[in-house]
Amino acid sequence: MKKLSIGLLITLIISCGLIHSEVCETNALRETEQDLLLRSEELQEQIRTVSQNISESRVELDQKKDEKKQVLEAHEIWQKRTEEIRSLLSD
Amino acid sequence: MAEKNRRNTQPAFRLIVTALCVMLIGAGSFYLDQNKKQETLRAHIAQLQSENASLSDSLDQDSETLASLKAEIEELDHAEEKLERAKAEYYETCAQLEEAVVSGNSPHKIAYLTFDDGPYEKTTGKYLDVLKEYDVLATFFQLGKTSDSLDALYHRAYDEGHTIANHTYSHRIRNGIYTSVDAFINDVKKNREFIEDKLGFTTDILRFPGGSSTARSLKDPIVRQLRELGYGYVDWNSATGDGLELLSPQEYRDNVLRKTGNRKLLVVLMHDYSQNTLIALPEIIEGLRAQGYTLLPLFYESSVIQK
Repeated sequence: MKKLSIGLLITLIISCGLIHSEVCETNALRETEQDLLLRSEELQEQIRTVSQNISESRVELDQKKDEKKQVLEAHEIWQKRTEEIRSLLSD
Repeated sequence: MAEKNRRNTQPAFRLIVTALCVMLIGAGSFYLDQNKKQETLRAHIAQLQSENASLSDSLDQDSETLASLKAEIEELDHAEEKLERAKAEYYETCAQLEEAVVSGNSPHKIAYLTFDDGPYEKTTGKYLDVLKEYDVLATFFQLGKTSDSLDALYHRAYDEGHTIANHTYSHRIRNGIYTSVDAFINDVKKNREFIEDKLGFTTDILRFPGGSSTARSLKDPIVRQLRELGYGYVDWNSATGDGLELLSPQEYRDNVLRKTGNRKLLVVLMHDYSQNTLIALPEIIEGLRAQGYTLLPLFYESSVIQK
């Protein structure tokens, strides 16, 4: 009976070691999970900010395109004229 | 005695063994529970990693979109500079073509249509309409004139790509600009400032009212001063004659088309006040093109501009 008790005690001690290790592993996994959750929130926040910036930039771009419509058209016309002269040069 | 001792300790050991067994069962159960939690956590972590990777990709794409939009906005901020560069590139290409024509490396010929003394309220707009219809860029040697409708014509000619050049402010040939070098130069400066105020650019091409020979002995000192002001000047080697006498549109047309002399570079003098030149202009354009001429606006680097 005494030997059995000693055997059981040793098994119990080993089990405690294993359980300690498992608890540590579980805690580490929980930390990783928390880190990932935080990262996920950060990424979502960044995406929200960038999306908002994209919307604002699109509005700004449309306004600018409207403002500079004549300049852009003139630019295209001058480029076309240059191409026409270039085609004469290659004759 | 030993038997008695064993009998006394046996229940205690049984209790210990039972307790140890219970504890071991508890430990096993706790171990299994931890394993289950770890599995759940691992699955959640894998899911989060996958979601974060997807979020990260999405953020990268959005950032690229934003960067491209910002670049487009920045490009638009510099649209005017880009337009100026496009114009400069056009004139550089014209200069290359002219060089090829003059050196005989191109079968083409170039005609520069020039209109003096404008703008005119009644006619300049119609000239611009014809030039637009025929897709021709010309050169307007303009004077200093003020009125709202003339302002619009200065702007229209410039905005449609024609070269705006200096023809002095007053064009006063008699008892005016040719009385002294200073009188001439001051009139040129006045018109330069006038055009700068109106159109926001500095002219660098000039035509003497009546042509450079009208300046007689003042020509050389005037040219020296013009050079210092950054001006080149140009006369002409072809004209409708509309500044000299009233002829029919057909005669104005023939004056140009029958007297080209197959020159490689033609500078045609016309006046945008003439109704008959206006009538002749489409045929002049078509006729010059039929003779192989490419119609271009004047530019400072052109060899016909004397510097």
